[in-house]
Amino acid sequence: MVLMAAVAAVLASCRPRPADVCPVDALPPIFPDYAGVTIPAGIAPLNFGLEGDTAECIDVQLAGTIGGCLHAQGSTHVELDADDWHSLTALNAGGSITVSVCERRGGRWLRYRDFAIHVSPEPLDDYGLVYRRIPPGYEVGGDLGIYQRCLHNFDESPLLTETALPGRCFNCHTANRANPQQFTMQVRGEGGGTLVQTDGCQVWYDTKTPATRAAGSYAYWHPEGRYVAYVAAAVYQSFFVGKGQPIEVYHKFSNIVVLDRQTDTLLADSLLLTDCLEIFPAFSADGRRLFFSTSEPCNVPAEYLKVKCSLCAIGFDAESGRFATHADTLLSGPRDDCSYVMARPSYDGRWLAYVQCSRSNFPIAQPDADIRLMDLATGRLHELPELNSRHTDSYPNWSTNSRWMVFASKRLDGKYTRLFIASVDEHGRATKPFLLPQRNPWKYYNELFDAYNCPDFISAKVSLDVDATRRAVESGRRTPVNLKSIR
Amino acid sequence: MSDNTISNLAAAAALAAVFVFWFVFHPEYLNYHEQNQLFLLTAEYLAARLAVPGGLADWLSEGVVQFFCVPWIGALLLSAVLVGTGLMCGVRRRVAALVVPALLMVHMGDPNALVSFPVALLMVLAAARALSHASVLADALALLVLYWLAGPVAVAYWLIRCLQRCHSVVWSVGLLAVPMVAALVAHATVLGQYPLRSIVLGINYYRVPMQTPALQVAIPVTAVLVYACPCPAAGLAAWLRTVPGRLTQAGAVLAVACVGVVACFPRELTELLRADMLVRLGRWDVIISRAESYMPHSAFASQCVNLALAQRRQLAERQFEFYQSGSDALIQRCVRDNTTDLPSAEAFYHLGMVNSCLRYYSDIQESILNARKSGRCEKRIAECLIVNGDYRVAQKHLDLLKKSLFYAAWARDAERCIAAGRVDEHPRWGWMRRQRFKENFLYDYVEIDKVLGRLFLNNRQNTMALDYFLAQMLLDGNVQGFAQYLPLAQTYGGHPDMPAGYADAIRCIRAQGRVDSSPYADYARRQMSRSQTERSEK
Repeated sequence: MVLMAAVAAVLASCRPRPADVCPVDALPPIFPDYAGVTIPAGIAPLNFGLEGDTAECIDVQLAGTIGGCLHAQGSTHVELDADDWHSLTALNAGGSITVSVCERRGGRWLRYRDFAIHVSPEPLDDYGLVYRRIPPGYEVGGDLGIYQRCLHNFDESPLLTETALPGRCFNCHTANRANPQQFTMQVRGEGGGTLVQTDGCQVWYDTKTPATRAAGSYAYWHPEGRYVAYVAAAVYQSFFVGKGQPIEVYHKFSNIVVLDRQTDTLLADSLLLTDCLEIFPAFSADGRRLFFSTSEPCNVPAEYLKVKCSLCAIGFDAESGRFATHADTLLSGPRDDCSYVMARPSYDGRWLAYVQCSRSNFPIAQPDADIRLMDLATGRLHELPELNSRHTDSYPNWSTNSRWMVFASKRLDGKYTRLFIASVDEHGRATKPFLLPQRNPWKYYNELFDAYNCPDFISAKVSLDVDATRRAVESGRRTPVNLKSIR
Repeated sequence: MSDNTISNLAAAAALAAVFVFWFVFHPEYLNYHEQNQLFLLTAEYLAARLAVPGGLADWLSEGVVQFFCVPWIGALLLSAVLVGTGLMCGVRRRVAALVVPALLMVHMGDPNALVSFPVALLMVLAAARALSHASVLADALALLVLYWLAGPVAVAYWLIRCLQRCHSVVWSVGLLAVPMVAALVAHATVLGQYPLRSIVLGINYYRVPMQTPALQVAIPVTAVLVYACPCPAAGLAAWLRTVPGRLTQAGAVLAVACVGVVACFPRELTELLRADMLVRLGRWDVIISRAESYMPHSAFASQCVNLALAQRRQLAERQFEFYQSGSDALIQRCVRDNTTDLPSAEAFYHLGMVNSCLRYYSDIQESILNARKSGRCEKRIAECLIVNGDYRVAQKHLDLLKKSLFYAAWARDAERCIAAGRVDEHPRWGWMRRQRFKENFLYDYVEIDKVLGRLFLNNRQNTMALDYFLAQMLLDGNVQGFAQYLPLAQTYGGHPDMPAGYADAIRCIRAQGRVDSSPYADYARRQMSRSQTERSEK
């Protein structure tokens, strides 16, 4: 009875609609900042709350420019009804939703300026995202895990976590163009290996050979599914003593190899296995080019300031598994005194997203890292000011229809990367990105001590047999690969 | 004196003995457990615990362990849990039941043995006692509930019932199938990430995943035998109830406890844990006085003692009076576990090397193998972030600490200090801000002496940095560097006379080691002999 009475009192306290409202000439201080963002229809409800804890009640009215409306109230935040929200966004695709926020404070209602949430005409039909969550520590990975998250609701489920494989590190879940049936993943530590799963069948490779010196990471699939490009690299971290950027990540060597799954062969082309540091490979949408970054070898960590990556492309013939005889430099890092890394071509072949930062071949640790776009037809570059922030923005990836981009950004506090999604139109203009929605965003993100990295879209839910994965790791049995040197 | 009085006295004596054992002799274990968790008073925290088998026992045990930062309360609660298992086993009937708490105490000599195990056992024994007249169906239900709340120790309940009621094999197997099926269903549905072995043998009884110490199996079996096994001979049973019989049982339990404690609480380990606890509490004089009588030969011990000496401005005088492990005797290279780096992290904190302190404490916390937060680490991490002016991120950590019982007041004070803009005036944080590096460069452990030197040059009032700088050169055998920078100690060290330790080192250097009764010469000889041994082994 007491509980029911308390619940009734709470409900009653927040039920009255705003009356005698006092207008405030400012946008509401909401978290997340959804004012002016562009969303796809059908995205999970954009619940939000007011910053600070002075609000007694929040009243939100949403009205579509094409039609429909939605009302919600809450004490610390508002939770929008999922069905009503989906109907509203579907109805207003190509239009906007006007959001009116009132706050009751000290017994008075305040009404902030309305803001708009734009609903893109471009759909985002993918099931959701796959990403790794890891405490943003230093040398110890801690309780990390790879998770998948539905974009149309708040469901998140673990694919592989530290609980399943204690003491191991795993990373770089990479699907072939968001296809959940084809993905690869790297497990490090005791019994580590490279997993390639296709149609539910796991194959575990040992991609570390005497010539490559390290197992494959930073993977990317050839669109036909026969080849997977990996980086064989030795990654290190050093730590600053000052109060700014805490970490510098660098590689002592880094080369690109391509796994031919048909023949279990690692293709090692001498143009990608040089003394330079080749990193972050990505096949073009038609599979006829491989984009990658490369930097001159430096005496790292002493010369960490000199690491400047160029963005290159090299022709690839999937039939013969051979690369072209020379690589083209698309953007020169040394010339521009910066680093171009993490190339991600859109699946329609139109755009090349990449990350630009002042130095380094590992941009997640660089505060000035920003995402850029290259028009692959014209070579024109787009700086994407709407999308970037003054903190690290990195790890871009494309939705299957190449109209949406997910990326990791430290913009909220400079330390914890969070996932943002933005749309990119046919002119290469990005919209203001929105933070990955959560049921209670402030509570969720404030209590989450993990950072997100390696986000990617998936068209449907991924299925991974955790027991089989564990058995494979514990057994240490690996499919051997033959190294085939080319040229 | 009645029989029951003897039993009650035995139980009370056991409670007192266990309390004294933890509070007086081994408070470092309490400290170790407390600093490897952060119990939160939130519904989400309880829900997260209840999501796995054994979750309630785990939650209750963490609730108990949070009081370990007040050692007398912690020792009392832990004693109550341990002796409670004896009471539930029927100490009034058999004093020998106290063997269960004795074994649990021995088990806890392993610092990774979690308090959730005795709590779970207590829950199961209490349930067996409370439901002693339950029907078979009620037993099945109890087993299911106990499995989820207390974990696989619930099997003890099944064993007790089987022994008490002599069920048929079919009934017995059927009853055991209840928790087994629950484990399989949980594994197939909600606990897919957990190895089946963990679900069957216990997720939260031991800090290291996938490991099950033998005592974790032996103790419940012993408890069941003591609880439910009738005495094989009627004459013996009668004698055991007599005064001599009960005294004999008490003596046997005492013997088991003494032998177990001697075997399972090795002096070196307990001394290291004690040194860590004293470093945490800042009881520098106690560290030095304990090291004067006994000091383990390890880098960890050297770091604790050197930090204490530096805090008391005795490092220059007395460093080589104590065991020095080598170049790592002040600060050590980052090691991936939850303990080894603690003295180094604390040294960074006192030196004002904010980022290194932040880094070490972050990695220490992430190295806790059962993925718990640490109140001690969280507090230091928040402090470093505050000193660096990362208030937004610091607030996140303060918000977490505010949900705990024992760190909340501190977190609120820190919050108020930030809000009032008084960080610069804060006695510790303001000092750290003045000491930290004004220039930025990459920390390199190989050149730790240079890092310490630059730290001192950064602020010449940082006498600890000066002491560490000169001490590191002596540890490295960098006699030229030491001789070159020794004048800094005379100018800035605040020593009225040349410290005895430095004088000894100079004497040793001038005589090229050929001096008698020189602590530094002894150290140098030991290091040379060690490196020769290492070379020959290679």
